[in-house]
Amino acid sequence: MFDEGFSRTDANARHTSLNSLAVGESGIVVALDCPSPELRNKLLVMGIVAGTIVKLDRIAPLGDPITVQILGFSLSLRRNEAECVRVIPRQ
Amino acid sequence: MSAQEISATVPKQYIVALAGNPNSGKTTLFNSLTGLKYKVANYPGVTVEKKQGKLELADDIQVVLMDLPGTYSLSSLSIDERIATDILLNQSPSDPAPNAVIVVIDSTNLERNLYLVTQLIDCGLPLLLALNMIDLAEKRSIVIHRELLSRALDVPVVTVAASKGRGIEELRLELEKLLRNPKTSSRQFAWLPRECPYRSSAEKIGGEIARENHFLPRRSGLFLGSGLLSESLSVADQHVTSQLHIAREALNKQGIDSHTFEATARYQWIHSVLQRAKVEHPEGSGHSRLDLITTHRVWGSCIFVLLMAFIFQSIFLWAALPMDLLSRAFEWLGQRVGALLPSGQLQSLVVDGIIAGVGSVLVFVPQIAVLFFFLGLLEDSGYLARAAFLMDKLLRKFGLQGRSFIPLLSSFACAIPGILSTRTIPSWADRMATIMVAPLMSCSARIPVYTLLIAACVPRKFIGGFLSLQGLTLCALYFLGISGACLVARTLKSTMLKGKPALFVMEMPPFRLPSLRVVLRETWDSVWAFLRNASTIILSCSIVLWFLASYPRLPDDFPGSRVQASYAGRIGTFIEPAIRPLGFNWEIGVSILSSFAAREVFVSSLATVYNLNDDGDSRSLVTVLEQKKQRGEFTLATALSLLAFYVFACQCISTLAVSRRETGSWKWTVIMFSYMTALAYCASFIVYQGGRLLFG
Repeated sequence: MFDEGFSRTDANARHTSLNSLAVGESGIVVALDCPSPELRNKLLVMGIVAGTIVKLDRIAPLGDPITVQILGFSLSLRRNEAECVRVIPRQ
Repeated sequence: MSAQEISATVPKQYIVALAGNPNSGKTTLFNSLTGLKYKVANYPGVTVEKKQGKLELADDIQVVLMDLPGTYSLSSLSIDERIATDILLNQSPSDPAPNAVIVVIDSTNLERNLYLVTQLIDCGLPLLLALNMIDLAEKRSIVIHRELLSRALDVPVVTVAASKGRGIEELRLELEKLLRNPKTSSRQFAWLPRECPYRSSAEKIGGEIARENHFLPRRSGLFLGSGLLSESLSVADQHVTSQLHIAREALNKQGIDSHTFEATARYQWIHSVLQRAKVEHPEGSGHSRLDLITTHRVWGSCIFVLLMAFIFQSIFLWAALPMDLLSRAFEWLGQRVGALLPSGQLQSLVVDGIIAGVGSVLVFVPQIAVLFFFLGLLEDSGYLARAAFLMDKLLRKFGLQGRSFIPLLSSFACAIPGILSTRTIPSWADRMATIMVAPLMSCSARIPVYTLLIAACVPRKFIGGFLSLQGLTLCALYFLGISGACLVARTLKSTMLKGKPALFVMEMPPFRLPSLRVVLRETWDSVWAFLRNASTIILSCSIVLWFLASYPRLPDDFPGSRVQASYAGRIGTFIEPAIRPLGFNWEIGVSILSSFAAREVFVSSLATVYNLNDDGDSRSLVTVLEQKKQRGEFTLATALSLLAFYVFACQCISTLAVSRRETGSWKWTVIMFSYMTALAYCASFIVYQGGRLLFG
């Protein structure tokens, strides 16, 4: 169970960032690769942990921020914040 | 009466804390439980609101219900979280640890809401779960087996729909049961496997702290240890800090990032709990059509602009009648009291000083109330989060962020709640920038000044038959303040407050029908707080000003202007050369000086100055100004210059006091006052000189 956490060095080519999903597309979180620990901690508490399904839901009228569906609620975050969430797109 | 009978009649007092995530309906539940009978205060040293209500559970059980700040987790990252954590771990200097905790859960959002529950379980306090908004969960076909959930968490669970009063009685019964037989959950640290190296490190550090602090609840040492390891709590103790460093290094060597580990493990455990409780959560977010429209590219922006416009129009439309009634009431009161008192200095003090002065400000309370009411509606419906979402990119251009929108919007009512609500901005630089520009938003205290000057000097014309010129002028003033704020925020963020960009991450709560009862009560709280805080200042300023305007006593046959010969007139005349380029005479100068305490005092002091000046009956100030305008003593250019002055000037002692407290330094307070005064002087100068060129 302890090795189920995130790994920063996972170089799986299928990984993409949450930011590059299209509206309506969803993915499974595999890693958080945040430059700032504050951002990482906040995302973790809000439920963005390995294995969670996130769906890009909406883009603000000005193009940023975005909202994602996660654990049945809406989370709003900026594009540069979504950038560090590594996901595997789901069909 | 025997001793036994006496002890039976003396109820035992318990403290119960109400904890929960933001947007979990905590406030609504608090109101249902206390029947809107509560007191609002502040936690000492900080200005986080502290609500306490009384609850009679049984003849022998009296409960003080303490509303903790809404938090997603227990850590000390934000002030709100620190307060909640300190109280729960019995480390608060002012509040004892609660006997039990009611955790309010949003049933439509069970998984994330349970994160806080896992931490509360770890604290080792008796818990009671209130699954709130169960009606909405049912509507979305979310199945929650309450008994199974209760067994999985080993915590009593009650389903509640606080907004409909459903389940409140059962909640009370369960709470009574829990207080009579307090029991903590056996699932403490169930998320943290025994053999895990993280656990042994946490236990070691927790034990270290628990040895020093005997007040900690049973076994919460481990909670502290795990929180400290994941850097979500902080500790000043040097010895513990070095222990922590060693433990973190050791975990890192084993490939465990402590924070990621804690969060992942807690969510994994929550997942298994939900499986055991057979919770069925159908996919789909359950957002309504309204939800989609309000954040839509085109419609969302249109609705936003229309909504804001509607609110500002309403402030004037809805408040007009009560304002008129209040103003007549004060006139009537002045006449009545004037007739009762023998003419002389006392009569003059009461009628011209107190009643006229205080009355001309209190008249604007209806507008303030309407504004607070709308702010409450926006907040409780969940629209404020949409506003932050819509506005973030725009505000970021000026060095602020979407979250600054709520404090700035509140500042349109009053900069004080605005500045206080910047606590929700986690970044220091963003928070500081928001605080510094919040007083540039035209607050309700400026409304008396704005409306007086607009009513007296801007023609009652309609452009295109429906756009009122007066309304447009008002809009322009708000816009002027906002533009100034953008400029200042941007300048600050690129100079004194330069740094890395802050976080935005924010929950977007679903739209909910706000409870009218709750919003009205909150409006009342805000208005009452405004009256309580402002009335002393206004009353004392009215009296001081009356004194300055009425003394020294002059002989009846005194030649020339009596007001100009008074102390007030002398001060005004003294500063007149400095304010003449702004189009202000000594009378306006006196009123500006006296309104340093609070902007709205400008109206009452001008009323006092003019009432005494014309030594007549208390006429409406608007009429006096209109007459002066006709006589050319008060021009449109002067009025516009005054308006520009009040858009920017920091004429509010309370704002400065709050800034001092919130920024923790005189430096920022001095900067705020100086830049605002400088801005006001420049703006006034430009407007007056420009106006003279345009209107002659």
